[in-house]
Amino acid sequence: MKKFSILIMLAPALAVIILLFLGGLLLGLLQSVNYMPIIGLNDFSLNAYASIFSDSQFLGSLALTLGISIVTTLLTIVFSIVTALALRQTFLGKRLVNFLYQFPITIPHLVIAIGIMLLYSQSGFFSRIATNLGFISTQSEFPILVYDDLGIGIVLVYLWKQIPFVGLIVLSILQSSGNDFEELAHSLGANKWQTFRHVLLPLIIPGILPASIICFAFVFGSYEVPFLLGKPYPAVLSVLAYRLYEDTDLSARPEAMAIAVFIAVFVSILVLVYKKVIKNVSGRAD
Amino acid sequence: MTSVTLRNLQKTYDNATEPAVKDLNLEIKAGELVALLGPSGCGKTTTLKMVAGLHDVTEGEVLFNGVAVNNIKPEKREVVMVYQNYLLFPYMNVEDNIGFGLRMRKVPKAEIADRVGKMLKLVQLEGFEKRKPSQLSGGQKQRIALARALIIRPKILLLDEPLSNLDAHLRDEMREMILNIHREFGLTTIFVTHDQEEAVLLADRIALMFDGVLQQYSPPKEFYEKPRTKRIASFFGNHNRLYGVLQGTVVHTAIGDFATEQVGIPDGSKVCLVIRPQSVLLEHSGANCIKAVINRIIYMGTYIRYRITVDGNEWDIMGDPHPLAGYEEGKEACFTLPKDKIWLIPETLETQETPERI
Amino acid sequence: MSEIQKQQAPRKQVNIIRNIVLLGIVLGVLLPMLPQLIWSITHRWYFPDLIPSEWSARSWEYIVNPNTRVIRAFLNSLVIASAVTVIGIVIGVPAGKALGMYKFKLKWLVELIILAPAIVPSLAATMGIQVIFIRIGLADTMLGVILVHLIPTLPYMIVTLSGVFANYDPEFEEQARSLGANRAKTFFLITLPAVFPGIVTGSMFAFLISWGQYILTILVGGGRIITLPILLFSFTGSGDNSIASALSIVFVLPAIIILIVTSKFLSGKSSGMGGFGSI
Repeated sequence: MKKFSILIMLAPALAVIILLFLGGLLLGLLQSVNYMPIIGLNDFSLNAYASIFSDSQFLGSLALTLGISIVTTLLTIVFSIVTALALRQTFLGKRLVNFLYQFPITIPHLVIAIGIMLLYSQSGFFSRIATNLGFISTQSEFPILVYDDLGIGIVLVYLWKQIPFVGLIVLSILQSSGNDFEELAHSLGANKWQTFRHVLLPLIIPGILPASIICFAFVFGSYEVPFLLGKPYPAVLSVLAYRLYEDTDLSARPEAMAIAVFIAVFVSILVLVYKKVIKNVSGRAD
Repeated sequence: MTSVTLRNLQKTYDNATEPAVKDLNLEIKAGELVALLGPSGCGKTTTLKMVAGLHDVTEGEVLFNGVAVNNIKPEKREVVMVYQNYLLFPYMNVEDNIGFGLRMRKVPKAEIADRVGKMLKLVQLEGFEKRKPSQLSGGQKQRIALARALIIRPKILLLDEPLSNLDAHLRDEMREMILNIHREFGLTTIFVTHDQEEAVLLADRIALMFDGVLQQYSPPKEFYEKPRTKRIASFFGNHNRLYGVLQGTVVHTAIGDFATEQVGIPDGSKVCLVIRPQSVLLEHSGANCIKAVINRIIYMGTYIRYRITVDGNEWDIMGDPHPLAGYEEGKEACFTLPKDKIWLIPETLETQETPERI
Repeated sequence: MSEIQKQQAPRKQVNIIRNIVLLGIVLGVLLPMLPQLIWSITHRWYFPDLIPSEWSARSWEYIVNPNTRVIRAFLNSLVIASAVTVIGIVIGVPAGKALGMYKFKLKWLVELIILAPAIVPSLAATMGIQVIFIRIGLADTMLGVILVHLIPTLPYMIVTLSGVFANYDPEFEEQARSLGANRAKTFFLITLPAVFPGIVTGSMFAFLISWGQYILTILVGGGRIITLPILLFSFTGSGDNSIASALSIVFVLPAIIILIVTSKFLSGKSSGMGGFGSI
């Protein structure tokens, strides 16, 4: 009876996710291998995969996507720890700064993407300031920070959103462990740096790893920000996939599906590897 | 061997109006084991952290062997603290936890391993090197925390509520271990506690603090027998009180005169006579005798409690666990106050007394 | 005196670094939200002027003009996000309770399935399912958009609620029953208040995720279902900074309202944030 009622409680949620998400993934996979009789795809083939992996455009996109995701995640970790350490102390106006710090969590990416564009593009606010101060004479002298090769504008938007998300987790770890561990380390002879390195960091890192993985996965697969702030070529994987999907030439569909499936599989493997590593680390401890 | 002197020590926290510790003077001899005792918020932990250098001193000085150490950073003071909840680093095994202080000092690995081994032997936990803190019992964690502190050969050992997280039987074991280590190393040791029993069990001397102010600093026995104020008396448990005026060696009260042996209080002073429940005798010896109706008799197993009312004050008296003829509920009986057990507190000292909050 | 100075010197240094970081937080958060405020009331703003040469209320007039698509898009966004939130609560509360309070076989698998859409990007699934949506007539409909918006929102809702239920002691309910409360009273007086903060946090996540969704909406809505993000994209693409800025202010309003109303639920220790320790 109890088993049955638990199943009833879970059924709607599982139904939605299995049908829409897992089902959708499966259909995407089938379309990527050109086998979906219901819409007239009858010839199973791995051509789409073969063609994207030999396509320099795809490989360029992959490199760009990986680069943006890795840099964003690492910088998020660094700045979330730095900001949390500062916010933990007592200072005038702490409530206000804390409130501001939580702001980005709810603000949609799109709004900030537009803000970053208006601030950092070559006709943006900082370029105007630089011109007025005489640092540059024309807007084309301003460094390209948006629509750039490296995706700097994209990274800035993600950092704006994610630093507080991870930073709040760091803050809660610091709050729950209090000052005692640090004081203890001091009294055992650790200086400030040693205390941070050997005491605070090992407490923080395991706590924020899951959130960092979520951040990485989100950046790796998201579409909106790179579409608005990125160059058309090379574009990140999701933008490339959607462009191929929308192509009037329907023969590009399997390739679009193959890229989308690749994104999903890559992220899944990453999470599984992470879980495996975590298990091994904690397993060794026992 | 290091002596500790606290001279006019004062601490006011950033956002506080009242100082947490007020003008504290304390002399701790080299190798002494001293308890800082008091209810929570009395400033005892603040004092301890000022000795450790973890909290800045607002005013006054902390001196080790007569030399001021106010400006020495905590990691250079060679004073180490053992926390109440042990605070073993959860991601390090026992060996790494104990060796932490030595690694911070960049001691060679082989020496660390050697000294960790000796420490584990000292706290009787050989073979636990690779365990994680989560695999240890409370008592074992406490001993690892102690080993981690001792391995850096501190000048002064600070303990935060060393016995209060332990069961009754572990308390005895831990007490033995702390006393043995204290004796063996001759370490000046200061610990804080809110539990007067813990202080009495361990300390050579107790410094009792209320509201940031030192109340009394003396060996444990004197807190029971010679409390300086009524508040101190109540903190150390039940005291029976009776008010009167001292004339020579006799206290005149509303219910009769009582002889005392106490000297040093001026003639004609108003005094509060205090006596502990177990010091009152259930007998009629003529002098120093109280006649009162017994309100209640409560059998407590190892003793019997008698409740009487003396001049408007509720008294508790402890007697043998065998019922005595003539001492029955609702009947009047005689109780004797031996004159060497009577302690007088001059009423003038009571001006600063505030209601007890324990 | 010199002793005191010596003691405070390092502290001062730390304060300077801290203040730089705090200033960075304040500026970093505020700066990307300010240009829209100015641009939205700007008519012309030539490079390299620091102040617009011509102000105007043009973009705001455009937004409130009933003949444009803005009000329609706003209402669409509102209906979709509200529907997603309500469905999320209805589906999420029982699932959260099951995951938070009970142990059962294959629980790890259920957790994995429910968490998956929060981590694995939904692009492939939505592109994949679109063929079916076209077949059964869900493509280009509000219902279709609401359904795909459930994919990324449900995990957040359920994780938040399961965190709340995990800390919920069912003995409170038993106590209430034994004190004479009936089932309904027990639910409304005991259970609901206990899990209410979790429902608020989860709803907030669900609403905002749906509200900010672009790619899933455009894939399934096919350009027929116009929401605020879709308008925002098209104006940003066309380079009309003024209208894009005014739209983005409208777009961000619910987020700010929600943040202010619920900020007491969203502290560093909020169960909604903490729940992700479990991936």
